[in-house]
Amino acid sequence: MNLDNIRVEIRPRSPFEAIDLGFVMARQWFMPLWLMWIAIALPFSLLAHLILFKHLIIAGILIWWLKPVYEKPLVFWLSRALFNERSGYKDIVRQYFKIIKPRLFADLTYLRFTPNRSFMMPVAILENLKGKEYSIRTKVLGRNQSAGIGLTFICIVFDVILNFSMLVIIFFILPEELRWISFGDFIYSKGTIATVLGSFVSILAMSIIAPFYVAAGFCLYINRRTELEAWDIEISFKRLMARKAEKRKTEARRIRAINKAANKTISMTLGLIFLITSSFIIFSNSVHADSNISISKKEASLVINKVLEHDDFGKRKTETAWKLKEFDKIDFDFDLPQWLKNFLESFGETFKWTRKIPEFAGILLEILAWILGGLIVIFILYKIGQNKQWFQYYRARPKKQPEAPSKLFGLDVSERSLPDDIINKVREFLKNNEIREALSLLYRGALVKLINDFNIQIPASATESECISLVKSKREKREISFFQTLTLIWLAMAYGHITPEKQTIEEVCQNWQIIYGK
Amino acid sequence: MNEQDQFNKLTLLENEVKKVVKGQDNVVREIIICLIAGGHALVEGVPGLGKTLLVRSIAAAINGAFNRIQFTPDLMPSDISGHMMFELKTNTFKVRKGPVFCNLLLADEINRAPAKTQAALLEVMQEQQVSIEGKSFGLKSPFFVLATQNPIEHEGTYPLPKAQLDRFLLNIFINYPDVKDEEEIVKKVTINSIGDKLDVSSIKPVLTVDQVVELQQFAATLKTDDMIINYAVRIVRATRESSGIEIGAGPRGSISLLRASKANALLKRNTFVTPDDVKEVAPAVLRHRIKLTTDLEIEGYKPDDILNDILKDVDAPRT
Repeated sequence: MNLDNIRVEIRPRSPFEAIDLGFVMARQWFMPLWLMWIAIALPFSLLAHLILFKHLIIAGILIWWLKPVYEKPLVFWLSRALFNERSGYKDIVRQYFKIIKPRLFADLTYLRFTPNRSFMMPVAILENLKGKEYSIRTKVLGRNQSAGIGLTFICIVFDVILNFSMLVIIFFILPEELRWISFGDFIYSKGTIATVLGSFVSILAMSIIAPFYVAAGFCLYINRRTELEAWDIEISFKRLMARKAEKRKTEARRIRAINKAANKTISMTLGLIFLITSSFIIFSNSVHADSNISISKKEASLVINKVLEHDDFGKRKTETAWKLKEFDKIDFDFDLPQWLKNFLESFGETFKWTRKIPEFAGILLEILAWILGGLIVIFILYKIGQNKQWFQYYRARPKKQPEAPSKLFGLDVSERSLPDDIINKVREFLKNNEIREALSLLYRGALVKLINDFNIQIPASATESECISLVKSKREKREISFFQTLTLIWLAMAYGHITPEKQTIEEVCQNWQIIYGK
Repeated sequence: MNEQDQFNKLTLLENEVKKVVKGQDNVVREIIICLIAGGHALVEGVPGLGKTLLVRSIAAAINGAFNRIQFTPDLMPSDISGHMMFELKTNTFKVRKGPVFCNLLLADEINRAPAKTQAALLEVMQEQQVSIEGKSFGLKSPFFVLATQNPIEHEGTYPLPKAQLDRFLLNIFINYPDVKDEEEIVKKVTINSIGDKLDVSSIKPVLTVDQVVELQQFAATLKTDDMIINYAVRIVRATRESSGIEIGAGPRGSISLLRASKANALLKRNTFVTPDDVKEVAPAVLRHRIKLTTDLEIEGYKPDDILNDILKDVDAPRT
């Protein structure tokens, strides 16, 4: 890392200025960054779609999940480009696995949802730290840093907006003749084509946002390092040194030129005198200059102390906080009888274990909090499952196979509701002049036969003539004719209150026995 | 007239109209249901499907007076109901009755006239009487209005508000006939006739207007089980509870559904109403009385789609 070659003005910036700088960098180098992202993500996407063709939604989720894999090379490229060193695509490809390897497992598992990803990625890739070192480093870098989280949320919002807008545009620029799906279905319940299209639009949206997201996170990281490691001061000092060295060189060149001219035009004597004089001048200047640089330690410490006394450096702040006292080191500033001291000490020794209580309670509370959180999530998911209609809007019902109803037209049409010998029972009703009951049993019996024996599915909303239509489509002529006659008699009885002749019912009974037997 | 006579007369009327109006059997049936139920019909369909021919045919078949009003933006209420005019000869004011004084009125393209003119006609439909200069004039019975609307051109139209649409018993869709029927229509109109004048001369009067009134009275007396009333009410109430409907049908919808069901039962030669009679007429009775939610309208759903779902949801009557 050579700070002399840095391409941006290094100075401490507010996090938002740093993000802004990142966006400027992303705009400046958008094409190489975008191409790199898409070149890595596209093969993954194609492969995911081919393998998971029947589960396109899972393919979409997988592509999204692997985002850190596509973003890490961008950080690497940016880190080189910042110091005026352009990495070629070949270099990236050659080093690809080396670039993505640091903390890859963590990035794709338990750290996948970390909202500070763009800020933390450079730590893993550029500093190549592992384990405890990494966590200490990220803790130091991440102190009071929340802009990275904000950046992630902003990018998510823009990603969604971009994604949705592109889908809407694609749908509305399609000529109406080519629209195979309604807009609602296109967005909410997609078919295969719409899902694949949606997936690729989503990849495009991600690819557009990614350079901005990565560059802004990278700049936040650089800004934080500038703050902690005083890069700006280092650069300033280097520039001062360079300017000084340049000044000295210029002076020496000037003197050499004068000497040359003097040699040519003035006599040797005068030249000698001039030389001596000028040498004296040079000597005295250089001595003076050197004395300015190399001051003694004592003088330096005086100067440093003087500088540190300045308001900018000399601020002292007192902060107070609670800290648990160690029982052993409690210093009683009052005199206690020896026996009491002994008692207190033995008491403290006996209940030493109680010191662990706060720690234990803390762990317990943490576990409880996790359980509670889990329960809340389960409860929310359960409620969502129970109230799916909140997320649905009216859609034409899918055709489903209706289950065999236990009741139709108010009649119990379950098999157990029928007597063993229907016709005998009907004749019994007829004897007692219970015509309606007799007809009801016949009609009910016919429906039960159709539902249970011939598997005709009759919905609860079906009217009598709809039942006839169903029978017509499934049964043979003789049975259709029988059922039609029975239905007409039943309709006249039920709604017209027209009681049929007993003889008519007897004929129906005979036909019943011919068709259904018992 | 006994029951059979009533049935026969009605069948005769239906067959007579079908002789001229080809390929629109359902429409003919629904118009007759509307006439027998004593209601008015709003017919929607593109021009040239035989709406005028249909009304003329019915008028000829019942030997009734027929009038037609072409609704235009400058039509005034008095152009419909009539007005007082001063007669110089007798030096008195005389009433000049408007075209509503008839048995069958065709209100063509009703949505082309402004609201106050529409309201004048709808008031006449409801009250069956006309007030001219403070004097009331009753209309002859039967009085049947068939209003038409063109569903394709909405520029410069005044859409009927829901409250006024409610006055129509049925909203009937008239569609293109199939190939065979269309061929027959073309043949009939072009062979041995000049221009494309509507020829209803082949229609014989099979009923008188008085007999139509008798049929209307007979339909009103058909047996209607309480379960049928309950079924009709449940269907109408379901329109108020459906998630896809913003405004459902009111009690007038239930009343209309039952009236139309009775006429339908009569047309099927029944002396009592069955659930089928209710279910068959429900879409025509309810489609103009409901307002779909905006998102469904945007998605291109039609009232009939939702009504079909409702009819699948509502259990058939329990006896």
